[in-house]
Amino acid sequence: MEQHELWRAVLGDIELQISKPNFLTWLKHSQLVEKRDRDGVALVGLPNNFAKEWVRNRYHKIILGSLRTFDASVKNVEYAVIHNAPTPKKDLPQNRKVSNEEEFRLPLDLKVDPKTNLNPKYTFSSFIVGSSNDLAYAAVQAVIKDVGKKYNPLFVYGGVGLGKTHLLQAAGNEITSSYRGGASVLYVTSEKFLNDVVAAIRNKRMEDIKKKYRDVDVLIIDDIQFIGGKTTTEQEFFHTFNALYENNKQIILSSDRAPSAIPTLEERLRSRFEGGMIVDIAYPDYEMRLAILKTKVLNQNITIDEKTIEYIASKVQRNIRELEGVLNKVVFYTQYKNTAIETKKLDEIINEVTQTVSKNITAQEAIKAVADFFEIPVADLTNRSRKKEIVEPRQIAMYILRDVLKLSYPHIGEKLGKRDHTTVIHACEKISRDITQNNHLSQKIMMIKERVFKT
Amino acid sequence: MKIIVLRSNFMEALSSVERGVGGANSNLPILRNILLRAEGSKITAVSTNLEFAVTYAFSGKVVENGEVAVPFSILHSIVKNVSSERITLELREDKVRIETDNYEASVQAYNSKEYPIIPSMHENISIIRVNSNEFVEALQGVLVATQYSEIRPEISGVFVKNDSESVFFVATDSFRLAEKKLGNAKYDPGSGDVKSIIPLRTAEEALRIISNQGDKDVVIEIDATQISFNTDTVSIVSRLIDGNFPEYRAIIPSGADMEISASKQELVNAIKLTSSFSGKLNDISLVLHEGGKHIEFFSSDSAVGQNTYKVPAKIKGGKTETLVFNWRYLLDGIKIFSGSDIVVGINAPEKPVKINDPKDPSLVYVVMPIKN
Repeated sequence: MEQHELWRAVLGDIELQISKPNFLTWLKHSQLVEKRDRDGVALVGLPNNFAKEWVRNRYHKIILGSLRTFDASVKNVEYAVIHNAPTPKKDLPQNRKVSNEEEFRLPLDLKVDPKTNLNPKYTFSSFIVGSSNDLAYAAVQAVIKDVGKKYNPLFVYGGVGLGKTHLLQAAGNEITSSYRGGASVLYVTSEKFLNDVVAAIRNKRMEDIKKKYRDVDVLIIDDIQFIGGKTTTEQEFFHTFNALYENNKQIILSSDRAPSAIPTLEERLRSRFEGGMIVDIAYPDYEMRLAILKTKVLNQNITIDEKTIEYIASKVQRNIRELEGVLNKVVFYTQYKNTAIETKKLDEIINEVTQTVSKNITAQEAIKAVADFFEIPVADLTNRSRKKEIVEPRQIAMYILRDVLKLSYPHIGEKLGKRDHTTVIHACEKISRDITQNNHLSQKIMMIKERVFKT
Repeated sequence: MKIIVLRSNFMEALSSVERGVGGANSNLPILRNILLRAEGSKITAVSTNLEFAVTYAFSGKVVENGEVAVPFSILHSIVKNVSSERITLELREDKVRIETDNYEASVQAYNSKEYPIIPSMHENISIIRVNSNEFVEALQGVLVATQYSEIRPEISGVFVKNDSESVFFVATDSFRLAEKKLGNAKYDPGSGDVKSIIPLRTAEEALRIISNQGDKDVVIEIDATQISFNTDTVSIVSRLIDGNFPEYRAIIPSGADMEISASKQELVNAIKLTSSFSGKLNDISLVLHEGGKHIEFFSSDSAVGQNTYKVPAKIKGGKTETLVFNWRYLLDGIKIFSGSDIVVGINAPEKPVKINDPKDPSLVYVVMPIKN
């Protein structure tokens, strides 16, 4: 029996033997930390010392007895206070007021420089360069050497978790440290920019924004795609952009897609973005993933066997953040258990981190995600129109339903306007073939998949 | 169990343990009781809400040893309202009889075995000895700077740390920060480095109880998960907050471009008066002229009007500046100092401002101006 199942069974048994208030107070947040096979000791974790004392003195017999009925190998029970006991945590309040107050907080978070918003943990020494991002890296290096003159603006785009933020922040840090006393850098997310614009409008202090954003030598905005469609913010950004550009100040932007693929972006902004240098960060190849993992392992002084690293690198392909997530979990597991990890557990961890929750996604949701992405009504996908701009989204929708939801061809045809299953087969084959040849299409599909998983 | 106690002694014990009694919403009804224990010549009252526990020892005549859990609110109102000085308590089966010359009551009690066991500390304990007056002064000084925060539990408490000769108490709510250094602390051998966060409620309770204790030694014991404050009559045991307190030292400015010294009382008056005109942000402005003879306090609100208050002050260094503060944070900070004069150190307008008493460098208050 698995540990937590065993403990759940034990708790269920004990709940019948003691009163409800007692159970809720003392045992509700308990957990079975480990069961040592070596000496048959079960270690029970409790949220505080009161519970530890009480359970040890009053419920020891009941717990031991109950554990033994479910698992005869248990010889004794020990107790400990665990810190990560599940405590109810509320979500951060998302009100706008906070951003106003931020202004006069003490700089307690010393890690982030309050002036530039840069986090010093992002450096180039921890940035791994490979075939998928060497162009972006080179462009950033060129910008650092020749701030404001060479590539302005620099526009970096790529999927989630591929290191855009790392690259941008590292560039900011590098510029701050190499131009002593000279360059003032400001790093913001587009959300922060948006909030500032909103606050400025509300407080009728537009000049604040002008001062804050136009008085810098380097302006770095992360995830710029989010300003698309927000007219006033776009306008303000447009003016900021022009002011900086005309004064030869460097602008660095990042986005999850190319400017031409941000549908809500205003034309004049798009053309300005395209006027500088546009570089993309693609998915890392196997060698690069391996290099990333090895660097991580080296930096953190962890010992982990080569095979496991290779296995993780081969399995987790799409996202460096997930790659690191898997590694952290594996390291935790091996240190905690003190044994090498077996393949089955490794697969479990990988699935947990990179989980594609395809079971919970309905066909309707997936179709809607595709329609939203192309900004066409859902009805267009299901009607008989054979316009070119509808046909491709429809074929992509079929491909997604097949690839992600694993629906049958006739079922997909049914969902998308009672089409014949051969039509669907054709669409899926066409898309899967095109993906390999057309980089632009594969980017689109990746983004749609992200949307699908997010719903 | 049978004891005879003086009403005033009993009352003091009850008010000491009062806040430790569990609230009405607790899962466990027995937490609304206190545990009375008579042993030899010692009587103790214990309360706990499972976050902290208070044990208070007081004197009385013990006729028969024993222990029992009694509902706090009933016991409290009896002891508060009876007129006689002598009160007799006796456990008879499952009821406690409370008797004076002209009053008697029988209160349903709980078996003491059902009362939570107060955890004790065993391993790796660091022991610090401080004077109670200094301890109270330290907590009073820093507690204004913190408030309960669900979002950042690690700062909703008082941080305790030590170096080779001093203990530091630090509190912040991220808008301001106060640090008090106790130079006269003594360590027991075997004590390690302390870096612990006392929950806010525990700190408030320790302050309240120990401030009623007079001049005594306070023994602070700390292990990995718990802290206790002990005098000869009372002991408060509490959990610690699990988390890392921010590296706050770098925030406290080491020097100042501009130093202003002024009378504490004048400053308090000025803030109180000008604040009545302040706006939604609680903002008041301080206008400072280089080499000037006074600080101008200014505040305005379009609905109320505006006012200016001039406070005589010595201003050293710096250039003409206007700083905006939340007046509550400023007033809180100025009030914690006991001396008649205080010094305000200012660097750039967006840098933290340091307030301290020129005669007593052990207490420091840092507040962030509002940017405008």
